[in-house]
This record gives sequence, C-alpha cells and structure tokens, in this order.
Amino acid sequence: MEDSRSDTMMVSHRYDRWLLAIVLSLMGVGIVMVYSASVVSAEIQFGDDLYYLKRQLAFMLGGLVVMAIGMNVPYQLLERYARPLMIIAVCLLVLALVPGISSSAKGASRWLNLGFIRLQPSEVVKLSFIIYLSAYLSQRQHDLHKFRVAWVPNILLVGVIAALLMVQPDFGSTVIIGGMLTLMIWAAGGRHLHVAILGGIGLLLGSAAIAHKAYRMKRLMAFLSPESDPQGVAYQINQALISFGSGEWTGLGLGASRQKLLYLPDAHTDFIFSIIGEEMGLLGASFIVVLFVLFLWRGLKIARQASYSFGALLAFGLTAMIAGQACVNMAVVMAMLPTKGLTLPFISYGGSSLLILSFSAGVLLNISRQMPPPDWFHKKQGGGRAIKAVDALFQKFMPQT
Amino acid sequence: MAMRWRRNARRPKAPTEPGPRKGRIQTMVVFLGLGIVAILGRAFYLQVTRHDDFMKRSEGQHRTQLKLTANRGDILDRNGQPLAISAPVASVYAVPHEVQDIPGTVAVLVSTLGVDPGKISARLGKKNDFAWIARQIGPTETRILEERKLPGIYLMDEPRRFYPNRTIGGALVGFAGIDGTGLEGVERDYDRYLRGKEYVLDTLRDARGRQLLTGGYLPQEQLSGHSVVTTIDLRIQQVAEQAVAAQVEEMGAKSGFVVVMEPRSGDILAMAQTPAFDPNLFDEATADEWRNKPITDSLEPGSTIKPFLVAAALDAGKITPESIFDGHGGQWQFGKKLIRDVHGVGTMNTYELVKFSSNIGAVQVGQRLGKELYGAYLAAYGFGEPTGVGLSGETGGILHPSSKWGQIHLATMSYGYGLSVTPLQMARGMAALVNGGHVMRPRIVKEIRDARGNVVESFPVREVRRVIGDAASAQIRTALHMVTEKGGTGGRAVIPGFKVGGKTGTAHKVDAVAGGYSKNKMRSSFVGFVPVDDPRLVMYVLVDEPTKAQYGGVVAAPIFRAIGESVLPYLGVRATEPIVAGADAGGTNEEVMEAELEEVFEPISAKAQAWWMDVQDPAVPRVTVPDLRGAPLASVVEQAKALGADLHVEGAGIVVSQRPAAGAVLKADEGLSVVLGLPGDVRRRVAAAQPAAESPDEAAEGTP
Repeated sequence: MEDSRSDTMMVSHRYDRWLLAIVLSLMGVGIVMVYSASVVSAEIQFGDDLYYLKRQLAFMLGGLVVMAIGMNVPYQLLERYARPLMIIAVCLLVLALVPGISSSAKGASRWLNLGFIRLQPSEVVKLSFIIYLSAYLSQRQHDLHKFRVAWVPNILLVGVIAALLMVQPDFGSTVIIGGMLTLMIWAAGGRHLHVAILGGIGLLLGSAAIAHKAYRMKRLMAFLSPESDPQGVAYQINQALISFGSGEWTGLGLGASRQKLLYLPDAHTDFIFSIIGEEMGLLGASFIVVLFVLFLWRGLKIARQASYSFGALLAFGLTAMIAGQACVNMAVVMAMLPTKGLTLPFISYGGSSLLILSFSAGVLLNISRQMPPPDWFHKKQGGGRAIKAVDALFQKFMPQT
Repeated sequence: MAMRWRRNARRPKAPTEPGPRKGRIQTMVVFLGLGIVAILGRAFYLQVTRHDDFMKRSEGQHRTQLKLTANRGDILDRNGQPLAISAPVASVYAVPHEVQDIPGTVAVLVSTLGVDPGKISARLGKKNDFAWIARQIGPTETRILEERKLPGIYLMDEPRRFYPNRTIGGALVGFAGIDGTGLEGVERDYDRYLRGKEYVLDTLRDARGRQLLTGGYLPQEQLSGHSVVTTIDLRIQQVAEQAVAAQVEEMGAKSGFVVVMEPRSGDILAMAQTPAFDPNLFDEATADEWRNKPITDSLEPGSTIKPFLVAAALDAGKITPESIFDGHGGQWQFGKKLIRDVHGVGTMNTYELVKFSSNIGAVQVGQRLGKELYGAYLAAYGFGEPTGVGLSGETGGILHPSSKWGQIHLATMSYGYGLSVTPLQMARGMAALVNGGHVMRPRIVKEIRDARGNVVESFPVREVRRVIGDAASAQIRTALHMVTEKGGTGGRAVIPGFKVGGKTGTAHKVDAVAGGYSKNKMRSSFVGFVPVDDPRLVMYVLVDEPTKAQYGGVVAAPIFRAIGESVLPYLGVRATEPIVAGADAGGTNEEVMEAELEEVFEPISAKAQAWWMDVQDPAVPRVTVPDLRGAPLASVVEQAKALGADLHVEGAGIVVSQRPAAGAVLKADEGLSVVLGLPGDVRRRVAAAQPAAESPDEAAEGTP
C-alpha cells in the first residue's frame, strides 16, 4: 500500500487527510476534556484523579489500532459480511439482556462485561445496521421506489432491534436506528410519500413510548420547563445549563469548571459539552461545532466521490449518524431536546463508543481512498462455512425480494 | 467503475442513481445546517445573553467562605526552649444527613470515644450539615476512626495547645482554651501577639458540601501568631519548683512560692509555686490553682521589711552603720505597746540590728526616719503599687499613705506589719537594695518574634526610679551578708563557695475566723541575693503554714540554698569563697531565730482591727466565670443566676463572646455580658473581642 501511494499514478488513493486531522482533533479535545471533567469524580470514586484519563487514553490507543484496521482492510468485505455482522450484533443485544453477562447502570442493562471493557451492544448495533442497510440498499438501488423492497424487510429488522433495545431500555439508540432507517432509505432514493408516512408512524410510536414510561415523560417535562423542578428531574439539565451558561465568550479557563465538582452528573460522558462550554466558553463550543461541520463536509464529500454505491451509502450513513449524534448531544446539553443518553462522538468518555467511532472513521478514510477491491476479494467468494450457515439462516428469516 | 455514478449524476431517472442522491444529500445538509445554526445561536444565547444569570446561579451553589485561624505562636523561655506550642490534633465531626446507620454509628462512636450516646444520637438525628462529635481526640482513637471510615463522620485537624514541660511554669504560662484563645497567664495577657490571625478564604464547595481551596498560596507565615520569648529560664524554673515542692512537703506546709530575679535587669528568671498545676489538664484544676500567686497574692512581710527600713535610714543619713541603738534588754514599752526581742541585748549597732533582726532596734530606726520619709521610701521601693510586670491580675499590695499612720503604725511597720506586699514586689525591692538602688520594672517577656524568628517587638529593660544610693546599697549588702554568717538567722541559706546575703522572716498570719493574729499559723520567708559583692541572683522564698518548723531560716532559707547551688554553676558564676566540707557555713542559732517571732500587735479597738485586717486578703470567695461560648441563652441565664451576676445580653443565637473572659475572677459589682450570634460569625466576634477587659496593654505601654 505504501508502494501504491508513492507511485503517484493514483493520487486519489490517498486517504482524506482533512478527515483524519478532524477526527484526531476531536479525540485530542476528548482526552483533555475527559480529564478535566472527571478529575474530581475520579478522585472521589477511585482515589485516582487520572482514572478516567488513563482509561480514555487506553481506549484511544485501541481506537487508533481499530481505525488503522478500518482504513486498510478492504471495506468491500463489510458489504459481503453485512448480514452476518447484523446477526452477531443482534445476538449481542440479546446477550446484554441475560442476567450475569450484562451489567447495568442506572436501571438500564446496556453493557456486556468483557472484563477489560464494558461493551455497549447498542453501539455495535448502530454500526452494523448502517453497514447492513448500505449493503441492502446499494444492491437494490433500482427498486427503492417500491415500498415492499425498500421498507418492509428493514422495518421488520428495525422492529426486532427496537424491541430488544427498548427492553434494556435504550430509547435514544432506538430513535437513532429508526431515524437512520428513514434517512438512508430516503437518501438512497425512497419515495417521499413513503418517508412521510413511515416517519409519521415512527413519531407516533415514539410518542407512545414516551407516554408509556413515567421517567421519559418526566424528562420531557423537564425539557419543556427546566425551571420547574431544579432539584428533581430537571436537576441534570439545570446543572448543565448553569455550567454551559457560565462560560461566556472564552470560558472560565481550562480545568476551571466548578460544575464538575459533582454538581453535574455525567460530566465526563453525556454532558461533556457543558464542561467544554463552561471552561472554554462560546469560543470553545463553537470550535467543537466547527469540527463537526468539517467532519460532515468531508464525510459527505467522501460519500459523493465513493467508487461504489455501497461505499457511498456507507460513507453517507456513517457521516450522518456521527454528525447527527453530535448535533443531538449538543442540543440536549443546551436543553433544545429532551435528555437522550447519547454521547458526543469522539469526545465523551466511553470505551465501546470510542472504539466503534474510531472504526467508523477508519472505514470512512478507507472509502476516501477509492481503492478497488484487491484481487483475492474476487477470487475467494463466500467465506467460511460458519458464515455461510449464518447467512443462510438470515436469508430464511428475512423476506427477500 | 468509480466514476460511473458521478457521470450519471446529472439527474437522470431518479431510481437509477447509485448511492445516496445528491439532491437529497443537499437537502439534508440544509436541514443539518439549520440545526447547527440553531445550536450556535442557542450557545450564544446561553453563554453570552444569559451569562450573568447562570453565573449567579453557579456562584450561588459553589462559592463559600472558609474561615481559618492561623497557628498560635509559641511561648518560649529565654533560651528558646518551648513553654507552650501548638500541634495539630484530630477532632471528630459529623455531617448528619450523610450518616446512614445512626444506631450503628453511635455505637462505634461511644465505644471509641466514650461520648454520651444520648447527646450524639440527638446531634446525628438533626438533618443539618455539621455537628461536633468530639474535639481533639487521642492518636489511638484517631487511628480507629480513620480505619472505620463511618459514612458522614469526618476528622479535621485542629491545632491543640501543648505544654511540653507539664507543671513547670504552669500557672505563669497559663493556658489557652480549645478554640485557641488564651485564658490564663502569659497565654491570656499576650494573646494578641500569640493569636494567629483569623482569615477568610473564598473557596469552592462541591455538591457534597466539601470545600476546595482555589487560592493556592496561603501566607501562613504572615498570619500565624507571634512567638513570645519570656525571661524565664526553664532550667532555673524547674530547679526552683523542685526545691520549693520538696521543702513544702518536708515541712508539711500548705504551699510555697519562689521568685528568682536577675537584680540588674529585673528579669524574672523563675516564678514558681507549689502545688503546681498542669496547663495541659487545666479543666481538671480549680481556678485557684490557675492563679499565678506570686503576683496575685500579697502578705505581710514581717522581718523581711527590716533591710528596706534600714537602707532607707542609711540613705537618708538618719543613721550610719556605726549608729548605736538601745536594746532595752529585750523589752521595751513603746506607748501602749510592749515590744520584745527574744535575743535581748544592751546595745547594738546597725549591722547587729539587721543580723539579729531586732524589733526594738527597728522601731528606733523607724522613729529616726519618720513616717513621711519611711512612707516615701516604701513607695519608692515599689510597694503599694503593681510592678507593671505585664501580667494581668497583679495586685499592688497595701500601703496606706503615711499621713494616715499613727505612731503605733510607724512602729509596727518598722518590723513588717501593717502593710502587705507580693513576692514579686519583695524580689524587685531586694534587687533594688543590692543593685545600687535601681528599681527596675520586672520583666517577664523579653521580646516578640514572628513566625520566621524575626524580632517584631522587644520590651527593653527599664528602670522605674532610683531609690537609694550606692553607699547605702553597699552598706545594706554588708548587713545582709552578716545575717548568713555565724550567729545570724540565715545560715542555712549559705551556698558553699559563695557569699550570700539575705533576711529571714517568720510572720504570723491573720486568723480570719477568730480575728487577730494566729498563734501557730505562720508564713516563713527568706529574701536574699548572691554573690554579695556582685549580685547575680535575687530570690524571694515563701512557705505558707509550715507545720514541722516555722522559722524562715529553717523553712525558707534551705530553698534559697538548693536553688542557688544548682543555678550559680549553670549561670557560670565563679565561686569566690573556699568550700569547707561538711560545714554549715553560718551555723544556726535556734535562739537567735526566735528573735523573729515578734510579739504581735494586739488590736485595741474594732476600728484599729479593721485597719489591720484590711491588709490581709479578703476572705470573700472568688467566683470565676465559666466558658459560656457556644451556649444557648437559656443556659447562660441559668449560669448567671447561679453566679449571682447581672447579665447583659446582646444579639441572638448562641454565645460568641463574653465578658469577663472564661476563667476570670468575677468582681462583686461586675456584671456578666455576653454577645450572641450565629456560630462562626467572625465579624461580630472580632468586634466584641476588641474591648477585652484585661488586655496586656500595660506591658506594651511606652515600648517601641
């Protein structure tokens, strides 16, 4: 690969430097901000103020390895194994519900405890769902105006995933999956009418889910009137606003956040953007927004320039998901959306999230190289027996066109 | 293949376009762009437009003030040895709302600290933020609690006052209360130097109420209290206490005092009393034991006044060393009063008068001097007024103006009855007699040093006045030397190798119950100096109510000798006389000693008796003020009633300051005033503390 780059014959085989720089910048900001936001809680919980920093650094190193893999392993393999990957992800989701394997926090069983890392299956599911959907849609791009082709099997799949996610319960990821389904089919060429109808149905279902659970309702109420109960349900969002709002133009200074003194729950994970706002002010917050805008710009550019329609859809999906998640996270922190439980990509503390995101970024960079699949890819059709068996199983249960 | 969909991207039939459709991407970008604009707009609104609002809420929840008191300064002896120091000790407090298992926690606290379970349960039951459990606990208890890590129970370091020499200098050094306020002795009188400055730090508070320092630099050195360097020499103090304690026990006496002074400077090298008290355990002692009696108690000097009389007459030129006095054979009818000398003689010269402590001779000297001059000299020696040593509670003794004296008063005052003096006044007076007549202001504190050891204030040696001339001083030294020579009353004061001068005294105590003078209750004293030719030490020794023996020469003089024997070599004073092994240098003449047992004045009338009785300490019981700080009003009212004191109350809450200070003696006509406030209401406390009743201002007066 080094050779092909130095050949200069195929300049376009170089990966997107901009994107790499953006992702590394985001990760760098993440390292600094995770340390700054967690220093107090880490000291109190573990007696080691570096606890989260060390772990995040380890995750980042792992992430860089995973990113390198994503960059260099032909991404066309993802298309080939899209269905097995999807099945594995769903299985993980089931495992997350099995007591003993899963570990729960704050009433939700969202993690698989693998010892060194607590894997969050919903992150895996989001990634494999986008891979799967990209593969599915790219293979059927001429028939996407048909409701039966574009929607029915995927809605069934999303139904299964949503059901498993809602048992956890993980409403945020469910919304993301549903949103990605709608967005990708629409972008790939689905009919506006279908999008409108199904989007509407999805919204109705979502509303029902909110109304069904008291705490979601409360979160919504907290969002609608944050001043109503500042010590109760609206505590976190109030603290987030106090934190973010005290930043002014340039913030209190790096490390000078006061809200991280245990006032703001999840300061180093879901609400890290508050601390960024508090310590770095509007300038720092805008810098993060600009980084994600640049990320979006490069990601969509990669999608438009991709050599294969799978690659193009995958690049689009990954970009949209990451940028979308960033927007939602920031909007939640600023009380523009109800609390969701979504992280700020590349910045928030979290092992599985960072690894999955790094891999996604690696795949995006891989697509940006516009490399044709290597020769062995065409020769070795299929794959192992086990994969074929899994694939067959999937064929059997999923309606085919 | 790569270029295919791009080439086809020129909007052909919609479904045939591969990958995401460009138009729809653009649509999405527009929406996301709007979203991003909204996010930036919202960020601007929150961070800039509403900044002040959020900032105020932020400040409101984490800004807090931390009140700290810097370290209290040390009290040192003249060589820098510590007399009082501060060291951190753990105190236990609770954050009651964090305590999970109240009965379990109480059980552990009770078993570890021995606290009262009922009180502790009540304190933990209140859902407030702070409650003391126990202050200044021991190291073992600290370790146990550190290991147990009870939720809601915390340890905090508080500076505790330690008196490393325990009882040595106890009453002189005094003590500071648990909050670091000096309550007695040097601790109280120099509190304004010793006390660390209180300062308020702006700090951050975390969501659990813990405080964090953000300031970083704490100017601890500038804020901590100054050290007080006393003139006391720890070694001499120790020797003095041991000597007096041993002799008091030997003699079956009630108590004993010693003042050791450097005669040229007036520096107090030791001020000892027995029974002693340990300021580390001040709350176990009575207020009477706290008193620094060599300055607070006065007594009739008896024969020890004779050198002052004789020196005055010599200085005034009314007598000379060669003057001859009629001994009247030991009995002399002076007006209505029969004056007796046990050791009756025909005639005596001035030196013999002193040596044999002749009352008949002394009365004649008094007659020659006259009451005006004698009164003026006594006042000039510093009797009848406080010495200005700089310690509160000092009494001036009683010296009636000579205009009120009758002939009989002049006579009795010539042998030491009818006036009262403090041990410190006697020591200072003796220093003046032997140093050439310079009456020095006694010095107990030499200088004040800051935390770095720089001298910030010094109290120089100061001469108050000159009372007699060099000639009279030399003559009285000779006379007093003879007292310790063969045939004198002070032989047992002689320190081998040195020429010692001094005067013994054995005075009858006033019997407060029966009236008049007691036949068998005595005060035995010795006031002396050494060496005679160049006095380096002056000592006043007093033993109260000895039972095994009574003469000052037997009871008190050996204490002088014991102290001198240890201290002179320590001070590097060379011996001038040959040391005769096994010899009792002066010899002791029991018969001579009886000369001191003067016939005492029998009061003629009730009025006269009142005049005399006035001299003695009033027998009114002393009421000391309890430490009311922290007490609620109801309790204060109750305690004030118990004390029989008028109560003046200011403010509301709990007691933050009081007047008089805890441990002070409540004077009969004095009310009790307290200022109430919220706990830790510093400003009030400081303001209330300003006009402290008894301040050491006297000490600082007139010094740079």
